[in-house]
Amino acid sequence: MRIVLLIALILFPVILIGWIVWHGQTQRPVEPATLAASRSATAPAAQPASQASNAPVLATTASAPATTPASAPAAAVQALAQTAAAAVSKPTADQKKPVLDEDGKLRALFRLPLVGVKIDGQVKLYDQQGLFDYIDGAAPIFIERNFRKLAAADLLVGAGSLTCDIYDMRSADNAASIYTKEKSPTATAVAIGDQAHQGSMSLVFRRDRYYVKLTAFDKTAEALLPELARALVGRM
Amino acid sequence: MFLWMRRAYQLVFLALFFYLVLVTTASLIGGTPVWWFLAFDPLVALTTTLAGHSFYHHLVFALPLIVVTLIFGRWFCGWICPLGVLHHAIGWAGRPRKASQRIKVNRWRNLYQTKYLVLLVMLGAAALGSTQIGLLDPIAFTWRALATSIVPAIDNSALGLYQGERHFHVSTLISALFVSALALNLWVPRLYCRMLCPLGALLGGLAKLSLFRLVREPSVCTDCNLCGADCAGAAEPHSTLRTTECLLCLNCVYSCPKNGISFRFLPSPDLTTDRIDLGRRRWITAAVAGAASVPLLRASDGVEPRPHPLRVRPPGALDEQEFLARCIKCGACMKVCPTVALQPALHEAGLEGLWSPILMARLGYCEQACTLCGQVCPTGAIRQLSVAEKIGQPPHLQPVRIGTAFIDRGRCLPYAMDTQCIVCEEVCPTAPKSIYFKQVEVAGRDGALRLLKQPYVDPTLCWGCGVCETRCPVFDQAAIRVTSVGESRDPHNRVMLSRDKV
Amino acid sequence: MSKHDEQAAPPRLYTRRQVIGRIAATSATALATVGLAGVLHEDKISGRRSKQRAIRDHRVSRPAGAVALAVARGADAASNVRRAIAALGGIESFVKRGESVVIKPNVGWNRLPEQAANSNPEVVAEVVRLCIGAGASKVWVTDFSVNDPERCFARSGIADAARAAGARVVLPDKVGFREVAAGGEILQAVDVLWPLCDADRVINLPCVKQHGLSGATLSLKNWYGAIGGHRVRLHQDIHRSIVDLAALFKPTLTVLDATRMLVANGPSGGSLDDVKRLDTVAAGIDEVALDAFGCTLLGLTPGDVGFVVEGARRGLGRADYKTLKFEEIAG
Repeated sequence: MRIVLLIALILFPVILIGWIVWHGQTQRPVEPATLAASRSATAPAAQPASQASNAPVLATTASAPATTPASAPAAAVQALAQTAAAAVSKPTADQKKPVLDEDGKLRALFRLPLVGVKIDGQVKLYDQQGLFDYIDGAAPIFIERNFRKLAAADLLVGAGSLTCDIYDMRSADNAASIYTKEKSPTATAVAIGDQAHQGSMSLVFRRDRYYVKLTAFDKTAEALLPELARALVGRM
Repeated sequence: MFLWMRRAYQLVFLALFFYLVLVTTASLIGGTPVWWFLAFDPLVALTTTLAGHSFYHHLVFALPLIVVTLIFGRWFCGWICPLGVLHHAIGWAGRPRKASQRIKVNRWRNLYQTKYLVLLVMLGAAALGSTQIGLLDPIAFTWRALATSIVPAIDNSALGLYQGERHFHVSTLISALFVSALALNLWVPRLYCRMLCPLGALLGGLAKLSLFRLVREPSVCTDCNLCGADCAGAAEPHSTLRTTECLLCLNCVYSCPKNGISFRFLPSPDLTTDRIDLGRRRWITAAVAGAASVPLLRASDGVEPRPHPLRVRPPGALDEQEFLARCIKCGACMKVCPTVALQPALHEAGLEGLWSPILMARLGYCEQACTLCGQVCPTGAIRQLSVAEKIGQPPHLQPVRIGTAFIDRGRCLPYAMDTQCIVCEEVCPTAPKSIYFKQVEVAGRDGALRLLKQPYVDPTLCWGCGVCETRCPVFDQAAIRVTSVGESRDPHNRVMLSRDKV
Repeated sequence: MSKHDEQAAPPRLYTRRQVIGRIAATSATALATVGLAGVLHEDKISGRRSKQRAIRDHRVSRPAGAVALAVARGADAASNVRRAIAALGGIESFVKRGESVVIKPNVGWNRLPEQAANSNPEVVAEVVRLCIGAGASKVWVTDFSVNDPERCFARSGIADAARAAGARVVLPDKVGFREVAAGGEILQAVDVLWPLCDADRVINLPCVKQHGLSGATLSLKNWYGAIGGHRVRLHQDIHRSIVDLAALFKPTLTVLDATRMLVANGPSGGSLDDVKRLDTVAAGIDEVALDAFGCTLLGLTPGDVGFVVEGARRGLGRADYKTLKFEEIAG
């Protein structure tokens, strides 16, 4: 009896400590070490216009190797690192000219090739002042929904043509709001993006912060509207 | 033999405890289950299950200990409890020289029954959803003192920075209580264990059913009372041994010159007693008092009707009622937080939430890709989030928000002082950034026109990390500050109409 | 021998039965603890304590070709109510003997009946009387007022009128709310006054008012008074919120009180100059149609009012009320 107790008493801490050490080595969480973060975080507060202190953090994140044995967590770390790296690669540009970057994203939505269309002329950007030039009295309903920029272009499809207006409403809620406001009760809902409806010669949809109006001038272009809409959604 | 085993256990588990506390840092933790000691604690398991109506999976470690206690008695108190070890060591060091004095100081006093009343008060409160055992539970108490005060004090001093400079909100109070508890041993050895410890009371209650007990063999006893000289639990082995107080330190076994004390299966009820002589009235009064404290606590404005703006909880915290039912104020999350953002609350969460974790962006911010607080929480009061869930990557539509930043235009440089700044926007970690600028032309004091970027916060993007407040150059009280409104876990604490509960 | 043991009797030992008893007690406690832990075990604690409930569908089935919207005009408000409901098939087609009925008038504001900010007390009283006459087991009148409920119910005359007619007036602080999943475009969950969830029959009893933000407030918007929580936030996107909210409620019957109409400075009004006496009561089962009709009373085009358009778009009813089975009864 005493022997049994003795053995049990010896085994318990051994097994316990063994388990703790094993757990510590193998059950590493997915997130890489945030030691660099803690080091940079505890530096005293920066002066105005100092370097971005989260840039080094994200850089560390990107470079820290994943140590988990499982491949899925490693892939997740990689993905996270890539997202982080992508976010980091923008800061220098962002810090100086944040506005241009959102414009760049808007223009990139028109990047060719795009389901075989050609751009007639150029993609034009309209801000709050310029919007009145493009849609006149309808502008206030966009502006009061925190409208940021409109990217508009005339597109050519073979012999047909259409206009594509992409409104950057800054947030999905604003896009939804303007979508509801403009939508006619008689249009048919289609499954594109977050919400979409198709009327005669037009297709309107919203996806994330973007509100898009496609207006066709002939049957050729009208037939292409759903495909074009889907392609744009894919880029958003 | 077993005496040395006991001493070895005390050393090993004290070392293990310190190891687990010290390894709770971002760089060292890896996957170490630093919550183990807290999860091993049956009082934590009992109370949080009672208050929260669910048994968190980490706490499964408490179950074998409960079974062992039911069979053998308060083995945990004498062999494992790290605070017990500290009490034991200090009590031993400060013990009176003469055996007769030691016998006297180790006598049972009825006052020691207070710990059962403490336990009942706390269980009464837990029955109504408020977990307060963290205040006196030895593991949580020690964890908190080490994490918020003692380890930072040693670390901040010349002994070297292993975790960086750390400061915690009014933490001296916590360590002062801890040191006072230790100092009690200079008066009566293990006074805390005998009189205050609610875990000891719980294990003592379980020991009532123990099948194996220490017992004195009367046929060889010469009444020398030496067994009582070093009894750690004041169990009075020299008269009727109180099994509920016996800590199984085995000092009596090895002090008896006649080997008259031994560990036996169900010894005579005339030689041992497992009665706790409180009287039904006292039990009930204590439990009712504990329960009654809950509406009293909640009638103050700490939790209802409006959340305190400074009660910014860690990301992944459950909604407040559930949180208060589970948080044992151990301070593990505060210890592991790499940016010293999590701090022990004083009044911000009401009296009920004393020393529970809140984010004080004045002292530190929440690192975007870090989910360590949820990883170390022993009771699930802070959920274990994945990074994707925390930052709102697909399939998650929204990040986990803990609050929203607000700009104080009376202090913000481009608003109040005609001076360009941009730090908050720079450091904002979200993509797109939650802080954006409107460029305005401002006439300075000298009449010259300047183009200034004035910051605005987008509350639909800001998740309340607080890096803006931590980095704001207005050093004493930042010009941009985070308050709790907008937190994901409380659908009422919102300012914007969002896709959620009204 | 120790002085403790000087009594002659040797220390007792446990009998076999006692030993088994003790082992049993210990084992039972151990098993119970482990078992309880197993039953209550949770891997991830989700946190939210409140369970979400549903609001019952209070509608009755209507025979084919039944009148869907009836408008009655005349100097006697109670008579208007009777005739409008009679045109719909009578109260018996809506309330059966023994059913519990909750009436939800607009009692939002601390105003006199003449100021037309709340539903007309005579209309409320008549609906109560009709329900009692149909054999309802209990009739409650409730609303979560914007101003202090006790004052609103008193000054509007609705408390006295309803009680005199035999209903019980239930003030919102005396009842609780239930969390209900909303699944709308904006609202995901709301707290609803529980009588409106559980009653057998619910009658929506709005009045007709101009509204500064939404243009008009009629039957769809009347449900704002059914919810609690942080409802002021609905104003940030009022039209979609109204429709999200109205989509949750399926009342048995809606009685639109247009005895007096607040034509300007709504919804609270105050000046009698803003009140127009119409002596009209409309009743129906299609809230969108009733609201479209109510808009015309206010001189608005239904197509111009956001929540009417949105309600129609989402299939809550028909904005083109003339296409319904529609009856007008002159006074």
